[in-house]
Amino acid sequence: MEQQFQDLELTPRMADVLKIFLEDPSTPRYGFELMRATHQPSGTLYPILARLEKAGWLSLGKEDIDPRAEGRPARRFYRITGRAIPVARSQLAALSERYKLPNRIHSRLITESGSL
Amino acid sequence: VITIVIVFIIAALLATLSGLIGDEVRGWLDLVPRAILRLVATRLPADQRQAIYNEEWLPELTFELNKAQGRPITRLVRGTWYAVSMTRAVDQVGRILADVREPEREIGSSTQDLFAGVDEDAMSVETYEHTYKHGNNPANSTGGVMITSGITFSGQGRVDVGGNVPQHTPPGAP
Repeated sequence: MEQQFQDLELTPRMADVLKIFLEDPSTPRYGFELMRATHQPSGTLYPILARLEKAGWLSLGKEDIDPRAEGRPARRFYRITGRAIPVARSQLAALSERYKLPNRIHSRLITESGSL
Repeated sequence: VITIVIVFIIAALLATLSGLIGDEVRGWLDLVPRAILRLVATRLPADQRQAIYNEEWLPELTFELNKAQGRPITRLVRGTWYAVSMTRAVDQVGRILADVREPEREIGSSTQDLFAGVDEDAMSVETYEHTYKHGNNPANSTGGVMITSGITFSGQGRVDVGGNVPQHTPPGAP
């Protein structure tokens, strides 16, 4: 079912997930793979994936395998949708800006770490 | 000489027995994460279970368990962690995805189709693999199950109309 695109307020954990999708938007991503990449347990990750899917940011696909030959059922994978890519990029940039240290503190930290 | 032979026989028996016990325990360990996940999935709305549990969570868990073949402890820990952690997600996911996903039914693609009439909880990963490769006919490997829009064909020539799950018919039964 095609979901209508909705705006979302990103949380840092959602941003972690979206960052993985934006690294290569055409690559399908699977649940366990995302758990490892984001260091989030299934209990945290799956509600995020569900929210992103419902908002039309992610689409769901099915692994192209022969279940009998592989000896297992086909997994479901997620892909970021075309509409979500620019929105996710700009929201991630905004989030990064929000958490960025002010310049004077940043340069002081650089100086201090250099003098150690 | 007799003592040495007896000791050798006892040692051989113990080695065989410990191997058998190890295999038995490994088989049971595989069931733990699947049983937990299945229990967690009972909290999903009934109409969402096929799309979320059967088509997403269970295939993901099965893939991960297969990947760690030969490492039973890794399988147990990884699988159990995945399943237990889902207890935190299950209510939320069910609520969010209500009306979002429609369950698919394709030929032999879902676990429900492939394992129709089989007690999934009583199966090890190896049995799962066998069932995927050869269907769920316990008598031989040719009894695949095909389901097409409510008409079900089983490997032994039975045809059920109306999407009923075919039960295995023992050879010679009417």
